[in-house]
Amino acid sequence: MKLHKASILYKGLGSRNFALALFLTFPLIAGSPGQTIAGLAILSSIMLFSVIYSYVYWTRYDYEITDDSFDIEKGVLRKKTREIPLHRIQNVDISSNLIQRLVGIAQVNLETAGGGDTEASLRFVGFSEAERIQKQIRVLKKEVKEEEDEVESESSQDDRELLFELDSKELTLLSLFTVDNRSVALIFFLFTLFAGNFWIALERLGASSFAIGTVMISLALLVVWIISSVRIFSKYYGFKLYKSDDVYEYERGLIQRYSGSIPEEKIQVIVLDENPLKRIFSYTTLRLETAGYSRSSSSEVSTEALVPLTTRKRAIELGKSIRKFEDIKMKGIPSRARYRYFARYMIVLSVLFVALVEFTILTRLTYIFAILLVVIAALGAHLKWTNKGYYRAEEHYITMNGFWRRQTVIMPYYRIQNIICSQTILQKKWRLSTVLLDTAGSGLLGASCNATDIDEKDAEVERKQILENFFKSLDKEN
Amino acid sequence: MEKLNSKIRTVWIIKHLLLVFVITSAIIVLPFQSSLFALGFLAVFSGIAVVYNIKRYDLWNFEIKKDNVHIERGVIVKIRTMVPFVRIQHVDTRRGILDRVFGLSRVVIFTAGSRGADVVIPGLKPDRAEEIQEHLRDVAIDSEDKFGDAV
Repeated sequence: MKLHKASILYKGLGSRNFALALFLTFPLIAGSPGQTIAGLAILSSIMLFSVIYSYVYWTRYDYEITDDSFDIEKGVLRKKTREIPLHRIQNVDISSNLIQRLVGIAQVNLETAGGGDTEASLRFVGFSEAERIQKQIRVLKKEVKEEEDEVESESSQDDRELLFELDSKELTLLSLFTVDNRSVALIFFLFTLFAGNFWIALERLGASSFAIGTVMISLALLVVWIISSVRIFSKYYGFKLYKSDDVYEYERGLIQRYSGSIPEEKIQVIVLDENPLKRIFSYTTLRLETAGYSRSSSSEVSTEALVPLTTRKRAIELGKSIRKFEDIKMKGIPSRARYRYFARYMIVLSVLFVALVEFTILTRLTYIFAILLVVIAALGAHLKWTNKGYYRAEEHYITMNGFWRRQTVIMPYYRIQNIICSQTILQKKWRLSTVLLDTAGSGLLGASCNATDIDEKDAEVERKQILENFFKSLDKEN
Repeated sequence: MEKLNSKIRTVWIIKHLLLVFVITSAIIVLPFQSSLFALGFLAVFSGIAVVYNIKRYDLWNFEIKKDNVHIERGVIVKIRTMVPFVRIQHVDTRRGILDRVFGLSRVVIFTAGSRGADVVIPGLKPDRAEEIQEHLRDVAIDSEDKFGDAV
């Protein structure tokens, strides 16, 4: 099979090549009229060469799906062939940005297990072809698997079941509730750019510096919120989650359409992700942590969600359809942990306070501020404490941590790699201990299943029971 | 619970003292620091290195149980690790220069975990290390037969 013809022009005239050519010829173009003409001539010949190269690349590029492998033959100067066994292909991602969608082409990435590397990338094929590839690989993989397992199945047709669709209410709430990290970065950038002039302009109007500060901070927050909402909206627009056999597939995106899949056997833990706002309205984000597999756009690994937002009830239902976990009955951690957090916050805030007093004049406001700090520390400690918990269910271990981003991690015992109990000197003072269940997860960035600051005697019990449940659960799995 | 060979205490102390010496000599070489400061640094941190490692040795324990490896260690943070045999991917024995000088060996247990991916038992007699390695290899295979693949 050939790539889509439009990819010749798209790649040849692509923004990267053009930018490079422009960069090289810009000094000439910016020069005298004679030089400009020469520069433009060079520029167009570079682009022409680029298109020709792209054409040759296209003629020499060939791919084919056989019964058990995906074969690619390519190379302008030297012919390269690659055969990817179908059973090694973990998933087939399709993505397409705005221009590509206008042209009617999409990029297909084939990913294999082990590391986050993309094994092969087809740039670019038509929409329908992309979907055909995705579908055919799915069907063939299933056939291969059935042959291996010697299971008789009536047919190996393609059946996808729609599990979840983000409705407009959920999409709106999601856009309003979530703060997108990149927007925050953007606003910092804009702030450093414009803050100075803005400040001066307001000062001319005769506003006090307190008022200007307030206005500017609220304005910045508002802008972050709006940009973030727009970004999240376009990212999750038209989100759909399908299940076909043992693979979860999702597609989303307004401007850049994206589709990806998560093989069921790679799922390690289920995570319910909630910020305070979502909790108030009892909404939840459902995420999955997978092993040895990360998406091609690695920057989005931690934010990728199986269900971006839905009611807590629905999320738990969906979660239960993935892994049959028990009803969540959280057990709180000892109340003395609260004092520990209070002490910790007080230390940090006191240091801040001392620094503040050092640099400013002592006024009555300072004392009010001091009292306020104590209140903040107490409140913070309490909130941290109430949002922690653990629950040792029959087949899953469930832990909950975090106030700003509360993560409820649901882990089947058979996913445990090892159990780590730790106690720092400070924890020892409070007779507290932490139990961590390690999985073959995606590293330190991912959610971890840990029961933090539980009673040290309870920790002993948990540790032993978890190990026991682990073996029971393994027995059951096999 | 099994204790490590007491020679490992000496190895640890030597390692930390070497580090202290390197930093001390760096302080002496730096033009703006006094040698008095360097001496003080040397004395204090050598002391810490000795006391810390004696304590560390006292707290280091491990046990090869019937279905898991259990390790207890840590002075500042007390850590207990349990590695079920099924989850063991492979087991190495390793000997560094100091290990060889003191006739010691270490066992490194690898799992697929993201945090406790490699679990080390240092300070073992080479025979004992090999014995553990072989034992763990056998039980890992056994339990894999019993429970299936280890992911």
